[in-house]
Amino acid sequence: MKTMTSGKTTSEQDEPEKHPAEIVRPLRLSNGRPLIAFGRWWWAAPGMILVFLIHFVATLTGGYFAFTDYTGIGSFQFIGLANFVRIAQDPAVVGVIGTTIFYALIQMVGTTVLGLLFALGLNRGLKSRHVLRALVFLPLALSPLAVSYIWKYVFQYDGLLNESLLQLGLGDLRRTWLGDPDTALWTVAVVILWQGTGLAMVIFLAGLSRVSPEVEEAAALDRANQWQKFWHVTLPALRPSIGIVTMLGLIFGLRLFDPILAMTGGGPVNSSKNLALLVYQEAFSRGNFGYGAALSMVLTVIILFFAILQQFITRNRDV
Amino acid sequence: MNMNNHRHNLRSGAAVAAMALCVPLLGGCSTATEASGLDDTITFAYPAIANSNTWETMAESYEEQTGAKVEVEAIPIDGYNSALSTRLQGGNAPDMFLTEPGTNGVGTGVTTLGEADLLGEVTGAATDLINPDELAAYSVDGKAYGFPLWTVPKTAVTIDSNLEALGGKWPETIDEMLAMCTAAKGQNLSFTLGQFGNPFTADGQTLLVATSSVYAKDPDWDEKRARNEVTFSDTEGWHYALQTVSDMFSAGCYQDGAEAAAGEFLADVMAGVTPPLASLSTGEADIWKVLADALPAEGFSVQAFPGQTAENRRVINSVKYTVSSSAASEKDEAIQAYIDWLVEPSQRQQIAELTGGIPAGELNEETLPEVYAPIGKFVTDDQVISEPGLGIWPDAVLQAMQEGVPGLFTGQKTVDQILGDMDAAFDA
Repeated sequence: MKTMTSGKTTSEQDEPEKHPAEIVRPLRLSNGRPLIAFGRWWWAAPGMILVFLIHFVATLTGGYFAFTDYTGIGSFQFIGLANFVRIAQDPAVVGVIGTTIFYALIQMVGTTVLGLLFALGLNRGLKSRHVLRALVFLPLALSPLAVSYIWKYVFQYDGLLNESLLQLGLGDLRRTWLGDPDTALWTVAVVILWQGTGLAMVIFLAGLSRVSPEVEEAAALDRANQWQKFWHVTLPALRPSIGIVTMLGLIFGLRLFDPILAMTGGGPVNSSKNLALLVYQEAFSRGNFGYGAALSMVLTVIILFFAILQQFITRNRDV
Repeated sequence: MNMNNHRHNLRSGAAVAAMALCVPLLGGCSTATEASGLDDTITFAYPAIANSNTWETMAESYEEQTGAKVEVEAIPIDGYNSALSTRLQGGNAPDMFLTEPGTNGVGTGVTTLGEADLLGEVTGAATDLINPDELAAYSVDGKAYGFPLWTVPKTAVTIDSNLEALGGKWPETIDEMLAMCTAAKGQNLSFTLGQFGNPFTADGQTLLVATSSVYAKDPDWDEKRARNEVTFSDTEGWHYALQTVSDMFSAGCYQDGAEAAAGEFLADVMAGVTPPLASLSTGEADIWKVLADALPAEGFSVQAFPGQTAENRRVINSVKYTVSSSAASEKDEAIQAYIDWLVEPSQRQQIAELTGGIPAGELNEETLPEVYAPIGKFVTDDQVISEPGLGIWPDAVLQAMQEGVPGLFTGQKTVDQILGDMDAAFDA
């Protein structure tokens, strides 16, 4: 144990004082600057230039194509707002935007509620909670495209779900889940909830670790019931986590792509198609790169709008 | 020597060592390239599917016969379009590659790539293999940029044992077919495979019906549509074609879940299980080769799809892939030599055998492969037609059909709506 005497610790006092010649000083140039200087601002310049070129220039260039008739190959012409006029006049796009928002709301609300429930259930007490947490989190560690193809095997007509229904004597409930406009949307919703809940749970678990047991005990001494403890103690402490989870859910939901492509391809007749898939199909399958770029700008504006809205709603993050 | 100097020397030494390693490595690479004579080697890319080695076999034959080398690059089929278009525009495309006639979206359409000056012009004997009626799908401003080496009919392939179980007689008319669909369901069989989760099934099935209801009656229908003398909406044959596909679905012609199926049956086939189908009738007939390889005990036949009337039945002769070269390639002589070799009759015959198709050029009943014997009569009677819309329809017309037809099964679309969408796509 170190003790302080006259401003120095005993360990410092035990060390013999070094001769001034033994002290290694950094080599300096004649103007007094060190020979090797760490942390100069321009050391970050290459990285900043790369970020600028890769992110901003590429994005701005992509944005420019929204005002052209580029097909993805060969030359193109500037056509002004024609692509945006076409978007506004296409009734199918309105439906696709509606589906995009549906997925975003499902992802945002669903993962928030399920993630919170799992976090509360697996926070303390349960002996197997670590294993169960890992199981809930596991889908997040898997490739979204790969698991979507596996889910497709579950939902296809001769897949696991229909076979299970048949084995349970519920054969009448079998249906073409992926080919029915009433169910195709929900099959995708199941997959995004299954995959997104783990992340929400982990964020909420981190938030729950901030809830002081003493405060909960104090609430219990005040004879607060479970609901009152949750509402008045736990939930306020989780506000920052809720803000993050809803923000991530919203953004992931708006730019959802893999499960729709793998499971339904956006069908039948656009019933499960969102803007991200429409952008992909127009730009890369149909050769309407300019139109696809315009659609992606619309998607960007929608994401921006909802992100600002979400920030406004959850703006009070202070506990 | 203090610590900073020591570190500085270490860094300098490491840099020198790295350079010393890199220089001979890079030098060695260039030396190896020069020594192996790769300059005379041309590269050939194709979209790869399982168990297909047609182009590797042809390259080996070519090297055996001529000593010239062709380096074959098998690009997975699902990324072929984007890989090819990216590399063509980036200037590092293979010297030769497979393309598709017409525009065909992004990437591999001959006219799309030709208009962008990315393809080398095709000259000589190869141009003789292009059907003069289909020239628009292979050329831009009178210059051809791709040519076919083999063709594949778009019609029905029957699984003979299952057809036998249904009485053995392939239907000649749509009415006979619809009756057979109902009978097949009673025997736990389906008349034909429906994979409407794949876009090509919807238009493929519709066009098969339209061969009799539209093109048998009016072979110049596409040209008339281009001149705005007719429309999809006001052509009775197109109403009939779309309605027939809807009727086929209602009559149980397809397997359960066909509206969302997308190739799942192939997994069973590859596992050696004969699918409970009497036929497969969307896509090209060369599927018989895949089936025959996987199910060697089964027999297969290529049959004309039933028509509005027996007399109106037609067979579509489709060019699945064309061969093109990169405009940026500097190996013109080597490319031309390989093309000249490929278009020789014996090579075309070999390619047809390997792919399960028919050699490109003049169709002849006597030279048809055995599996195609049932359609020999159509060849003799000149009842083989080109692919509807090829080189004339904008891609968006097929897309409207692909998107709309499944809606007939789910109640989301009507025949009139789909035809209206097709007209709008044509006129856009």
